[in-house]
Amino acid sequence: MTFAHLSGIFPRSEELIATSRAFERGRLDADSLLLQAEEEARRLVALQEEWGFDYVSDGLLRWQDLLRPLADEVPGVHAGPVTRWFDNNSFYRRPVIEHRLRPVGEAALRWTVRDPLAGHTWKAILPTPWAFAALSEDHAYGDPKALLRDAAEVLRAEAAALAGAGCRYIQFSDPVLVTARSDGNLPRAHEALTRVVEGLGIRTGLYTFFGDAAPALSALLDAPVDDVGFDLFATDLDRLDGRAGSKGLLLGALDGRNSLLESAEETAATVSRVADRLGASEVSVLPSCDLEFLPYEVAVAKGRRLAEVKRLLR
Amino acid sequence: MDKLFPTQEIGSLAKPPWLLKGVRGTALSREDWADLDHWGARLEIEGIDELRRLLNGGGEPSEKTKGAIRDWAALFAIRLEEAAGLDVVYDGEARRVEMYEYPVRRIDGFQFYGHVRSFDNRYYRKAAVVDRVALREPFHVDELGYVKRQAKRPVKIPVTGPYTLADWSFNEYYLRQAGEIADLRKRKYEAKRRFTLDLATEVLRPTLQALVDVGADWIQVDEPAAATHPEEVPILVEAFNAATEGVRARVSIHICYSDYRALYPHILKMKVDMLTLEFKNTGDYNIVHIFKEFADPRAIGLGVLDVHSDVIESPEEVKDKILQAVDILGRPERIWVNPDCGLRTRTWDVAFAKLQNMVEGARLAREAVTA
Repeated sequence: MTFAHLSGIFPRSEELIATSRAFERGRLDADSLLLQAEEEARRLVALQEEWGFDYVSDGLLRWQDLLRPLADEVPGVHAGPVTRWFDNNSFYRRPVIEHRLRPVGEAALRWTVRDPLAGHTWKAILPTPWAFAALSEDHAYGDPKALLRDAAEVLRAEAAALAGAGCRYIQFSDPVLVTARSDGNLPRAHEALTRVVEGLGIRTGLYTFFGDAAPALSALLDAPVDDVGFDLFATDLDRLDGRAGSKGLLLGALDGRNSLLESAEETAATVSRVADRLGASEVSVLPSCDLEFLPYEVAVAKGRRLAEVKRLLR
Repeated sequence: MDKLFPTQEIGSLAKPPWLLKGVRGTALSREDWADLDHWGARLEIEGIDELRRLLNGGGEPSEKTKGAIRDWAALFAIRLEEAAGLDVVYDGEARRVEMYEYPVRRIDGFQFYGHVRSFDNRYYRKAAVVDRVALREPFHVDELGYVKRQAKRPVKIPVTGPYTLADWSFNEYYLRQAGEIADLRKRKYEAKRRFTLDLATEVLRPTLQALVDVGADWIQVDEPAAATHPEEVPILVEAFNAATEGVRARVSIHICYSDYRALYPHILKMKVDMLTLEFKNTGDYNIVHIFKEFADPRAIGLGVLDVHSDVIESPEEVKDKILQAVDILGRPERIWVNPDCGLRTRTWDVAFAKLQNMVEGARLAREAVTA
């Protein structure tokens, strides 16, 4: 079985960029901006339906970065300094944790454009507790274990709220696990994620990107989720070793950081090779990361190409 | 320079509002006129009525008028740096949109698709290389000529380096060319290498040669992306050496906001006279220790001003930073003094005060060492 869906923030159209700028400069009110984001999310959902994606997303069009809803909505946390986002020429605002974390439950949901998703099988994306803790600045704990434990509670409440709102799939994104590896990280990360997904009742996945997943793959496959995934453009495919077992694979098959449109045939062949090597019976093809590193039209073309890859793999 | 701890700028200054509005043909506000008058008087710039006439033209200015307004902006920036007391000056990159788009628009083989996000609601135009790169005509040549005619101090011209131009672009053409490599990661690396080397030999080298032909004595190659992908540092070094081959001028490299350790040991193979680096922002002097650890023999441009803060570093603080570096390196004649990076995010008032204190701090350090 092969599935296809998006893996992160979708770029805004030139029109929405102009609207966002106008809003920031005080030339437009918040309602007008929201209205435009809703229209654009509606178009994006329609595109994903047309492409035959198995889960649709609102493209996280209102999110400024993966951590921003938490930074903005969780009490005692604020969006801090502009910080480089891994090895990209783009940046995020590092969440600054001033007080002990308290779950709010609807941070992500509040920033999701929900109306266009109604009646569709939709997915949501959250950072793992491990990524949230690692990418934040801790002024409150001084104890990484306690921070991770409370981050898991925050994410657990977020996941439950999303599931309660009709979300059918949650992807937990974590570039940290494959870019800043050290012994002992994965069991602790998995333990925190276990708390998040416990009793959730919907399908979940752990998706890693920007780094080579090969050295950690066996341990990644122990994650307490239904699917585990990695970025084919950052992973040494010749060194992949492990058995998917009952896990589905999420394969970042189209480069989300380069505009070149890959050949559908070559991509499908690579995906098949990886799936065979790991003995996976269920595979989802995804962009290798958020598509927001690309201009809108290029991202749309990548989405369309992903659909072709899925068709070839059937 | 004969003296110890000479001072230099790094690159861009903020663009004055009268420049931005003037080239757009937008009317200046009372504050904009006041800003122009204030700096015109403070920097003792003559003939300012001509600039006022250009800015008062009304409507869309002609290309000739836009060029003249940009000349004036360059003159103001040169005079600001001279008035602050810098030993080596430039024009604050007054006529460049910014360091990426400006050169890319002058190179064949690139295509702009649209905006990509930098952060929040900030976007930039990112180009894709869709064909083999070719230089349309050397850039910065007229700009340098103007600065050379106006400056009363030695001049150093900043030029964006090949690695950064490649890293900040989408790579289509060279990735297709490397299609014979099956492994996606290896293909990407090789495509990046070919792209960067072509930029070095086909674009940067002829541009640098042209700059030398019109009198460039010192060229600073800007490579802010240098350490973004540590595994690609060998590409950075190979491309730098290719770009500067046969270029008869002093050549320095500016690298900021990076993990400098990732550059070593490969960067020891770079044929460069000076590395200008950021020290103030990181809050520590690890790079000076790295310099010592690897016995790097080259001159070092010591960043002593935080370009992202309005706090004005005191001369004493600057002096202490310089002396700290002297203690570690033991060779004061290798040390130049500069801001961490270009000061374009600061107002001219803040930038000027910072530069003045930097110059004074260097003087105090000189006094302390020679005492």
